[in-house]
Amino acid sequence: MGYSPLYFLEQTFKNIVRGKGMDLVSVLVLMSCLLVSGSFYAVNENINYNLESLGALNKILAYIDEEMTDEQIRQIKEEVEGLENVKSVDLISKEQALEDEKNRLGEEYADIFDWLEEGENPYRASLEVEYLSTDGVEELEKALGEIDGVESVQSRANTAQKVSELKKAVSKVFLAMMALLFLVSLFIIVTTVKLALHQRSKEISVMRYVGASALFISIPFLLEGLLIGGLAAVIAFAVQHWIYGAVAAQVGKEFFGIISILPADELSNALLIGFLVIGLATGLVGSIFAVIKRITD
Amino acid sequence: MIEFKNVTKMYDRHTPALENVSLKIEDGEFVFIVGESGAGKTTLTKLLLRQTRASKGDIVVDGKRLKRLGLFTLPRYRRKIGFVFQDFRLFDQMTVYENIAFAMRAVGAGRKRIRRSIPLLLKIVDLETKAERFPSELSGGEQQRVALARALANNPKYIIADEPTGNIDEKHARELIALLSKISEMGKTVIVVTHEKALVEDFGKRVITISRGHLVADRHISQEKE
Ligand SMILES: Nc1ncnc2c1ncn2[C@@H]1O[C@H](COP(=O)(O)OP(=O)(O)OP(=O)(O)O)[C@@H](O)[C@H]1O
Ligand SMILES: [Mg+2]
Repeated sequence: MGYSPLYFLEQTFKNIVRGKGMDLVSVLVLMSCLLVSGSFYAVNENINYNLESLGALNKILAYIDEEMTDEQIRQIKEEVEGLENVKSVDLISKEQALEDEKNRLGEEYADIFDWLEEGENPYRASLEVEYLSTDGVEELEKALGEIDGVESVQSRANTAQKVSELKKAVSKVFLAMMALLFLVSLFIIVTTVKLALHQRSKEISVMRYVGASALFISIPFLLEGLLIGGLAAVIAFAVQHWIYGAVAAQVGKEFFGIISILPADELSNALLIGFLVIGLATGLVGSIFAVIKRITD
Repeated sequence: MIEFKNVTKMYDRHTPALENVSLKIEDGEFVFIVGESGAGKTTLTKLLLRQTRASKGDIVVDGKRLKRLGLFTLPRYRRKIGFVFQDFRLFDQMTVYENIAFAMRAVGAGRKRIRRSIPLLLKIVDLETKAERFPSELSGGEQQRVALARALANNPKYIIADEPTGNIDEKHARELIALLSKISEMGKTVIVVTHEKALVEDFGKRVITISRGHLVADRHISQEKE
């Protein structure tokens, strides 16, 4: 067999040169589609990440009055352990709270606590109360609040619920946009490849009448679709990386200490693989749609 | 062997382009197909190439029923047929050599085979010196012979030519038919569609006449008649 990969690639490049910029348009549209999907993914991952750092969903934090001695705190802990619907209670000391916060902010911001005098600590001790059932959370919160020495109660369930509602709303918008953009991308790729087929109709008719296989005729066009998809993926990845860095820096500055941002490196593998898979698949499916009728009629 | 069994082709519901046509063409035969314009001659070649399907009846080539051919078997079947288009269908931006190579590469011929075969093919059609010319630099008759060389390139069993003489003058037309006749002597089955009666009379071959979609005559014209 004399089928050479180089021959097919050459044909594909001819298609692109003759494509009057349609291939470029296809790449750009598919790229925007991938960018929207990638941003969705990045936002979603960051929400999850922040949820995690808020703590598990089935926990309540009870902050202890600053005046309390260690002994008193131990008594409060025992009292809490005796409450209904309580699974376990963890004591987070002032020192540990400070340490956790330092760790959370990381090396970069280590000097932020330098103004503290030796032994000074702005944090309060707290009890992390894990409960058994969500149904009795309100009663439990109330009971905790009534205990002497408990200054305030923070239910993370509430926050978590709000965040996950937000997540759902954001998801709907993104998913709708993604679906629409994918349809548009697919349509444009089909149109682009159909144009290439049209410009080669004489060659295709001769190939068909001398008995070229359907695959032989299709390969340059399938490659064109794959190339559009691959290129869109790589460019989208580069752009996404850049945007993410810029947005992360901005958010980090404005919501410092409130929202933590995942480092770009943690997302990049999944993003690159995802973009390549989606991009190549869209390109291939689009070109198959375009080619199928021309070679089976 | 080619066999038409009660073949009817309807492009639309009203008038059949071919109606109830039955015929047999043995291997190695040379056959003219004649008939007035619109008789159904091109339809017959389209059916043979399976460019279109019979509405009724069966076409059987070498034991294979054409209506049964699919995505994978149709290309293999078509490699048995060398088709000469009336409009030549050569590529203007390719040389004679490249035009023929294109058809060979399309069915998987390797470089070596292409390089070896093309000079031989060009010799058959008497165009050895024109390999590097572009179609626009050739006469109509020469272009037609390039198209013929391309049809021969993959060593098909059948050669089908639809109005091969339509675009060339009479002298060249005769030469082309003589060439096709020579090719048939090389063992190929040759089917030539034409409406030039005078030409047909001179060659002493089998002539199938179609009129308004019906097969109206199938006879051998003896060469002595001249
Ligand atoms: N694709 C088509 N759709 C509808 N009708 C068609 C089609 N092709 C041919 N016909 C009709 O079928 C009939 C036979 O056409 P065909 O092309 O076979 O004639 P022909 O004998 O080759 O004529 P000519 O000598 O002019 O080439 C004609 O009436 C023509 O109008
Ligand atoms: Mg015709």
